[in-house]
Amino acid sequence: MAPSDSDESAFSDASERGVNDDKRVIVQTTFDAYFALSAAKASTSSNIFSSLIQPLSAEEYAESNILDPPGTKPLRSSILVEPARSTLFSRWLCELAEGFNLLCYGFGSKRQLLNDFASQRCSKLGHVVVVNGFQPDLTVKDMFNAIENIPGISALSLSSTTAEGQARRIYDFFSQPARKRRHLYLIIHNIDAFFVRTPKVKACLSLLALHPSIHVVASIDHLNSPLLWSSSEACARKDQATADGKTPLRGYAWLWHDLTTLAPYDFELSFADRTSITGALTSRKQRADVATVGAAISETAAKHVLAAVNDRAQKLFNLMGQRQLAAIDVGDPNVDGLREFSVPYDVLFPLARENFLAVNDTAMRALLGEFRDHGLVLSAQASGGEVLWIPLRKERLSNVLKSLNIS
Amino acid sequence: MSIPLEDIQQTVIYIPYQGDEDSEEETTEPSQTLTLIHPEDDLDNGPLLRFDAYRAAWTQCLDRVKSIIAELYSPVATDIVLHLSTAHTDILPGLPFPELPVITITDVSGSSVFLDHLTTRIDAEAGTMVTHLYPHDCVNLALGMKALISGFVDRIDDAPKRKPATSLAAYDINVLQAWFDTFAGNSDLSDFSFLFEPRPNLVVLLHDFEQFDTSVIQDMLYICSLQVSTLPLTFLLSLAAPSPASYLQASFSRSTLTLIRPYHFAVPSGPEVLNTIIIKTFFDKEYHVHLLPGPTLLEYLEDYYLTRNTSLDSLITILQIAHLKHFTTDVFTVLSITTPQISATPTPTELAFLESLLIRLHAEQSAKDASSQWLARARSPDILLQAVDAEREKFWHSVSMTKLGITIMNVMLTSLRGTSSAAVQKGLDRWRGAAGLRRVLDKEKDGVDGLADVLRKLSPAECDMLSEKIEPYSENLPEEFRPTNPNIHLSDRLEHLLRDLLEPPEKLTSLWTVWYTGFTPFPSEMLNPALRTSIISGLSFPQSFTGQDLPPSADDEDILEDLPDTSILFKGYLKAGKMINVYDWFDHFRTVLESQRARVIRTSSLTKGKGKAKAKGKGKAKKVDDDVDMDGGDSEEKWKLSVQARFIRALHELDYLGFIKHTSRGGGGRKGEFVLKTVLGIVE
Repeated sequence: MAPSDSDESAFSDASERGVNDDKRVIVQTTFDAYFALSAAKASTSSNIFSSLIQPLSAEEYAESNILDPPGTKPLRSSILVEPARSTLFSRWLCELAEGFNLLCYGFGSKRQLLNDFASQRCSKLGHVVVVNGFQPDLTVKDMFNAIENIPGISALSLSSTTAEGQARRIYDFFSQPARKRRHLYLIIHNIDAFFVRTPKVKACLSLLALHPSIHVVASIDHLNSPLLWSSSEACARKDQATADGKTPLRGYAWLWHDLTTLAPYDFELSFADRTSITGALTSRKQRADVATVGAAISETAAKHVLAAVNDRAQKLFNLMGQRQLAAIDVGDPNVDGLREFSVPYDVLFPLARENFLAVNDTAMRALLGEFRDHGLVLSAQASGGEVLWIPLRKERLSNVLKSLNIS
Repeated sequence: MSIPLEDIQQTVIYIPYQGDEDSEEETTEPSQTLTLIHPEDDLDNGPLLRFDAYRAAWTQCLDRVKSIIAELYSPVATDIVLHLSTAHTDILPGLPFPELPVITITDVSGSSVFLDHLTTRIDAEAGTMVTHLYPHDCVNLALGMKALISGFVDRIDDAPKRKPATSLAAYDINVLQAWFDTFAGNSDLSDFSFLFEPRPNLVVLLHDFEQFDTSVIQDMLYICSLQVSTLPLTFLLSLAAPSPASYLQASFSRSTLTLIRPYHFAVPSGPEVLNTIIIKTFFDKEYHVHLLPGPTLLEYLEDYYLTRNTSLDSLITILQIAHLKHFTTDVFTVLSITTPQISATPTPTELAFLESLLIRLHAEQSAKDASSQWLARARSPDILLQAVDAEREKFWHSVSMTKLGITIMNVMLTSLRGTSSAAVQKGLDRWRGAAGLRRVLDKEKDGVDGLADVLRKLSPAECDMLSEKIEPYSENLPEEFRPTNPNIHLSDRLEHLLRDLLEPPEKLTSLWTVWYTGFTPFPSEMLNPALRTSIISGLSFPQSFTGQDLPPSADDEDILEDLPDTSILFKGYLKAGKMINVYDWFDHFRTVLESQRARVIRTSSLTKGKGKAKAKGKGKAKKVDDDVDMDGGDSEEKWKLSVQARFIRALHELDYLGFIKHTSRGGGGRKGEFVLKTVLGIVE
């Protein structure tokens, strides 16, 4: 389906209606907006992104020059510029020393700034552990094992090998009255990530966070992350004196800081699946429906598959590919989705028979089966029966076909 | 050693201490911490001195607040401790089966201050042991019982090691029973017998009781009640529900409720606690603090405490932040407690400090009035600093009068509470509590005007009672505040007296900012942040965070093209309805990028075409534009890919921030081609 002029209208209509609503209601709250929009008929168009636009392969995403596109000026938040930056760091150190933990929010990746704070300032004062909360492989054990790198902790006896036992041992280590310990600075990027949301991790963290010698600096990005902590947890205070045998308090003692850096989230999102619009929060490993939505296949992968099949199958692929290329050449240049250039099975089979590639339907399906299993050929049911296409862009497809060396 | 901070595969990175290895003493170096944003007038060691002043002022304030809290809480804590000690001896005779004593503690604030106070008291009691259970310990019965038992058993390190093969399971209550019998019943083990004099008590404290799974608790109560005749267990439940009895009724079945014998205790909370703490800390005539809160801070405190979070933790935090802010924003707070020594030959920084101090001291005086004083102070730092000492003394002397006024006011308000008519009560309400203090201290808001009108409605008997109560205070008044004409009606006399006493602190001296927070706003976003607003304005108006002025061209389209990708996509988000079609969104995004690209080509060709005639340049620009477009499929294909990549990247960023909810790819009609907005109704 070709995009029409009405595509834009969905946006302009909605915006005009929004303006009119604003005039009628003096101050429109979110609730008003919700009900107003729920009452109105949803005015979206019936365009389908995944059929019109071919998904990017990971290589294509990496190749496209997006980090510094021409014509855009990268914005730099004023807090990243000296002297505001060092003033901010000094203020943080002061607040940490006064028994608070810091929670940074605002738009933009805060990773770089917090890492600078950790390596330039905190490491001069004590031990630092940086936790990458956005890493999908992170476990709470990783965090405690890293903290146990601090000399002396592992010499203490461990009551149980669970995370709680480790947390308890770390707590006890810093509570030892023997001599003054160097403090621990715990920098947690994205404390709102999945790993910290479980009650068990929260319990361990809330124990450590209220220790007077352990300081937590954390960042959050999600809109709803303040809901992670109850108000009593969030405002619990550190008791500066931890007497031996006294019941430890639990909580976080947060102080909030607006840290709008405007920096891109590329590092945090490096585990995102760029081939899918829903890929921001799921890593590629976890996605099971790749084959059904038609993920793009890379050129090398296609060549590997083709190298492993017999001559006939190669010829069939060549036949399909040439047809698809011809269809793309005469087709609408605005359409990107390759399904639009698919070939019906009922057209392909007679062609294959003419070229002595398959004599009957069973042989034909056997040839196609190998390609389908590897995602090199995709199929769907259309009104005129089954259609087939190759999920490779024009120039990539022609490269693959050239490499086949079939005249 | 290189630190792999940029390694994407690292989940956790440890950075070892990199400071001076020899220094035995750790802790944060405070000297750099109170750095000002504009430190032009600061002394060389100003930050250090101000930090010391902050420490002294805050420690004093905190100690006072803590002692008041302890005073408020100790009656309830004493009751609970007393009750704990008699819970297993003072049993009703004739019960069909022994009941498990359960004590509920209602603390509406939900903060840990009371529990901390209570456990300190219980720990000090001989013969009582407390185990703390948290909701995450009791996700199921086995874990819950194990946590309960090990909480007691693991206390004594010398206990014989359990052998898993021959011992009872760790969650078996008989483990606790055996442990208890061994140590409590065996007087030979003199090491531990002190714990159990005269009758041992085992207390289980359940934090945040509402968050526990009731079915688990039900079973635990049943198991413990079976052993209660031989095992003196008592449950302490910490609740935030205002009515614990009805909470227990609603959550547990009758069969469970028959097993327990509940006692209910309530922790003092509410506006009364706040008022007591504020008045006794800052406006007690007997107690001297170094910083007086102004109307803005008092208003914020009351508002936050009453409407947002009734916790004493946050009350203390607000006071601490106010102190911290006070000592970081004003250079002259270094003079708060003591005056630093400055030699007769000051260094350039000291000179700058003295100069601005001199200007501040004479800010409100005309040159004529103060010329002789000014000259004397300008000549010698000593005279100037002596003047500061005098100002400090003057300020606190006047404040002691303010405190006296507030004390009289409070005596009046408490003595009239409940005795006089509703109209009088209503009239007096505006001066009650922290809000009243704010009104009193703020002359812009009428101060005590209208008090006389309210008091005139009192009956003669009430007037007599009131004057009797106030009498002892009026006797101590300095001469200038004594009423000149004793025949005036009590109401007018009181209003006059209070108005004279309650002189706003900002009128007392030109250096008032050193000891009084006045009208400086409290940085409320540190405790109660506007997270959504911040993220949305970061996306909508990123330029305003760069600290640079916006370019003069105010065309909407131009601004849109200047924005980063995510902001462009977010503009489309704002314009859409409840649901967004991903393709339409992409198309909108692509259009903006196309015009952005066209502009780049135009400007670059314009710069290239400089030196030639202007008209020609323009023509050429169009040609170049066409050239690029006709450059062949390759670059066009690359451009298309990069647009798509930028779209996906921006979309993922918005998704990461939580702006998008995906529709189901499964059975639903939307098949994931639409996304739902999570933020609605933002007016641009």
